Parts: sequence; structure tokens; C-alpha cells
Amino acid sequence: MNVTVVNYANSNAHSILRALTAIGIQPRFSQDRDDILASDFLILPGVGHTGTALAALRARDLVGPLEEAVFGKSARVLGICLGMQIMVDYVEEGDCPGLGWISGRATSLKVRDRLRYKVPHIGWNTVAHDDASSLLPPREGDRNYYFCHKYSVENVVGAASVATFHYETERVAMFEKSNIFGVQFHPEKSHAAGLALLRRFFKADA
Amino acid sequence: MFRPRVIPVVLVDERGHAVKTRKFARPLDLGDSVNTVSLFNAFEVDELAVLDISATRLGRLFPERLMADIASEARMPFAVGGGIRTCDDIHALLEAGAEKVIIATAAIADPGFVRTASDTFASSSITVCLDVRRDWRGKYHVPAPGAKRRSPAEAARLMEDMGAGEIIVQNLSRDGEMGGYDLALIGEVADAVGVPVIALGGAGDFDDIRQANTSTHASAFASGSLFCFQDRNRGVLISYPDKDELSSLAWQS
Repeated sequence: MNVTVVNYANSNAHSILRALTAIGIQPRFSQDRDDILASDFLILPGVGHTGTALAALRARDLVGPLEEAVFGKSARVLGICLGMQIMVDYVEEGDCPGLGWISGRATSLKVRDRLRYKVPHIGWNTVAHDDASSLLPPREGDRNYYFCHKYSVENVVGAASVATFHYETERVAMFEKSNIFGVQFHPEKSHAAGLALLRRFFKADA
Repeated sequence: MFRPRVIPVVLVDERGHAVKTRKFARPLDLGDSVNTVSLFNAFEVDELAVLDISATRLGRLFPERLMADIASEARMPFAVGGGIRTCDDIHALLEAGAEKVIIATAAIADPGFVRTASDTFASSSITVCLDVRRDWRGKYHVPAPGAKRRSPAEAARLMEDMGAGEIIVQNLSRDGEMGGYDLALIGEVADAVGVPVIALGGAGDFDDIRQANTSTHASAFASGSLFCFQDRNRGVLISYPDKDELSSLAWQS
């Protein structure tokens, strides 16, 4: 099983690499096109500025190999936080087009009660159960995950599963569309519940 | 349900030992700091903050070797502070595996540095720590040698404008005293800004956290003593609230 954590921009990948090792996976941390093309599983980590990250992907000529792997070779890809936000059509942070793999927009978290609902949204929150999700546990499972973000994805159209969390209003926590997966929270920082979610990502037949 | 974070703070001295101070004096040696971090790992803590208490005084940055050792041990997000003055300092710490950096002295001396740092590294990586004192009339202020003295709320708003992603607020006189957080101060700062505020200084038991959670808009609760000592008698014992206690902090969001 070939697993690549894509190295782009300032992405702090230490925690995701540690989490994968903890579930018995030896990932490559690479920005090499051949590594990407040879991968059964790809992870787009993400911390930092979304526009800058997209620019870095384009500057390193990684969009082509990623799309060939995801659409040509059906590699399963998981975008985490910023890695999820770059998958949609439009990215507000940077005011630029995203990769357009999923129809939607990544916009700043807007809240009305700013005393109660602090932004960035940092802490643990519950993801609502979704029967169509293959990453979430069964209904009775632990669905509390660690979030840290000030942008989020909205207006998602055409995904097989869209699961939400509540923070003043309902917001997108994750989407799944055939081999494309995005999570707004950080499974790698969500202890047992997060590691279980990562295991499910790798479990399905590639 | 939204559950605020509970964050142990590890203070590191010039030898790399974990220590716990009272009012930032009389450090009690807790042993090797890397070992302390690995003990917190076992409790699956939400986050960890590691502060080098002698860095600013000695004019040095968090020692890189120690940083790398802690990073290889820590399995949770962690923030590092102490002596950070330049973007190169921040870059080195983030590269070494820290999730965030904590800027205190340099942020007050030069708020523009916070702006540059948050533009360069994204505001989610930049936490500002406000060290607050009360003057002889009982008025809160953020000491600023050679710069404008501001109220905690003013300083917090300024740091938010400069792009800080989070603000830690602590009443310096509560450090290590275990008599409870300064709820008035924390409430005032948390009501002044839209970014998350982390309460620090004074927690002596879990009820202090519960109380700060219900009576202020703080988003996270940090403590050194609470997680390093068995109780107010200060017998050294690394601990952390259990799952039920943590869940009791969650609120309908």
C-alpha cells in the first residue's frame, strides 16, 4: 500500500505523519510527481494560508500529477482542513479558484454572536451522524473531533455524503464523493476517534 | 456540542528541566521536561503549551535540540513560547514540529511584529500571551517597559487587530497559587475580542475550570500547577481530567 502525504507550502505535517505511524502505516512525505502517481492513498494536510498553499501546489506543478492520480488512477485522497478547502471551486482566502474537484466554496466563518462563537473555531465539536458516510463511525460511535479553522466549506453540491457540525449554525464538517474525501477537523489530533476515522479511510479497497 | 480545550502548561528552565513556579519565582524542579511531555502523552491531553521561562531574560531562543526532543515525544498539538523575537525564530520552532508559537514580551514591545508574524505564518499559528498586573489602585494593566501601558482589553483588541489567532491571558500574581482563575480579568478580555481567549494562572482544581467555563467566554483553560501537583499541598503528580470531567465542559453550540 502506497501512501503519500503531499508536501506543499508551509504545511505542518508532523502530527499527521505521527498519527499514520500510530495506525501502522508508513507514509512518504513527498512533493515528487512519481511518488504521487504511484500512490494508492494521498493525504493533503493543511495548515497555513489557503491561497498560498494553492499557489505552491501550482508552482511545484503538482496539480497535474494529483489529478492524474485521483481521476486517472482512482487513488483515494483525503484533504484535511486547508487540504479540504483547496478541493472546492472558490477559495476566499486568496480570492482564487480552488482545484474544483468538489462543487462548493471555502469562505470565512461568519458568526453573529462573536462573544460566544469565537473565530477561529478551535476545540472539540460533534459531527452529526450521516448514514451515507463511509468515514464516520456507526450512529452510536464517538464523533467528537478537534477543529481549528477560520474558513469553512459551504454550498457543497453533488457529494455522496456531507456531514455537518453545529457552531451557531450548521456548517460542513466533511464531504465524500467516490474516492475524494475532505474533513474540516483534524483526525490526526482527535485521539482515538480520529485514528479510527483514518483507519476507515485506509480500510476500503483501493 | 462544543467542548473547550484543557491545556497543561510545562515551564522549562535554563537546564531544560520542567519546573513549576509561584508568582514566577521559587521554581520547583519536576525533572526532565521531555519526560514530563511523555507523561502528558499518556493522558491524551488536548494540547500542550511549553514555555521557556528563562529565554527572554537570557536573550536566547528555545533550545533547538530540546525542541526536537519534545516534538518527537509529543503526540498532541503543542505551542511553544519564550524569547521569540523574529520570524526566523518562529520558522525554526514550527519547522521543528510546534503547532503554534506563543509571543509575549516581543508582542507588547512591538505589536507590528505580531502583524508580520501572522501574515507570514497564518494567524492560527500565532498566539499572544498577555501578562497582566494590578497597580496599587487595583487597576489591571499589561506592563510595557518603554511602551504605552494598556488595559488588558485594549491590549487584547490590539493583538486581535494585528492578527493574533488566540490570546492567553494571565494575572501574574496568581501564578502557582492554585486559588482559582482571575475571573474578572478573564471575563473582561474574553468579552473584548472575537478570537479565542485562553485562561491561565491560578487553577487549583477542576472546579476552577468549570467555574471559568460557565462564567466567562474563554475558549480554553490552561494550567501548570493543576496538572503537575496532586493537590494544593504540591506533591508532584502529573495528571489530567478524565473523559467524563472533560465532557462536562461541553456546551450546546
